[in-house]
Amino acid sequence: MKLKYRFVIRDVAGKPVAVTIGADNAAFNGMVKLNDSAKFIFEKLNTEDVSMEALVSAVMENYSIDEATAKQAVEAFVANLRANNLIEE
Amino acid sequence: MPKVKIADFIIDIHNKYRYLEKQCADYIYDGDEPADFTVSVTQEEMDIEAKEYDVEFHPALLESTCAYRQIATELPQRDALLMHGATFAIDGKGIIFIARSGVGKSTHTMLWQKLYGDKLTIVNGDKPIIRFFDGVPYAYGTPWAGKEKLQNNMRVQLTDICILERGLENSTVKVDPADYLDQIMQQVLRPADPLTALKSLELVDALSKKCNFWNIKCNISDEAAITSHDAIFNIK
Repeated sequence: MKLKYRFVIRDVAGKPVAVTIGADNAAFNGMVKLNDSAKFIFEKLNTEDVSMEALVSAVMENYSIDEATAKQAVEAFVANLRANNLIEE
Repeated sequence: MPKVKIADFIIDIHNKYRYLEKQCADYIYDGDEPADFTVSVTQEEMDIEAKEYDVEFHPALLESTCAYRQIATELPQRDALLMHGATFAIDGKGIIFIARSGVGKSTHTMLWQKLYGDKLTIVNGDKPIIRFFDGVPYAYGTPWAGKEKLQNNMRVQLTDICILERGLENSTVKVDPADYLDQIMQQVLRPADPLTALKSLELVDALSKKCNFWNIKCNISDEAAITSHDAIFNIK
């Protein structure tokens, strides 16, 4: 899966935010506010087509956490992105 | 038309309609410096712009709107950005009121004008350019200033960014811009090009560090303006 639109991501006022670029500005006229772990997952989805498993592994490695915790975090965030129609399967 | 100098940028506008020249009358540049950039609106851009509206606009107005968008797109890479808001200078401060459409930005500005008009100068009533010099933001008047066309060819250091909301009671509270990013970002043009978009976010981040941010809840009474004025100027 990957993100439906192309974004640029940067910290603004101490918080990571993502905004669309190019023609996607018309399709998604919004802004995605992220926290640090969400930013890590979002950046992965913004640059490559990744599986849920690969995302969980990347989060485990980056944050040195166990699989169950990583899976919970990834699934919750991806569900949130899906609910906002931001994921392309 | 002759070159113009807007926000201390020299701009060469290749216009088709006289309206743009008339609109930019306060900003004509008669020096010899070369232009920082050129603006030229295509028919295709005007056709796309025309589809944005339910009513039909004269092509001269469409050309003007497209020209300002082109200017706005050139700004971030030059440490400047266009912000939608009513901007004025008063007692050494540069203040911008930003709000969702229909909240009453103009009304609140008019109340300030009514009460503090002798010391208040409108910089731009609708769409000023904010330009950074050595990390310090300045708000500039421009020829594009909304329906009321309130603007002056001047600049003021931007010190205070006020997010307006309607309220039954009047209150003005100093806030963390991180909690109002949605409202702030909505008032900044979204560039399509990735590098320009990133630069634009960088400039908003710089504003978040350099300005005071206020949340103004206001009704349409004089008291609304007195409340926000006294909070911003720390008058007890």
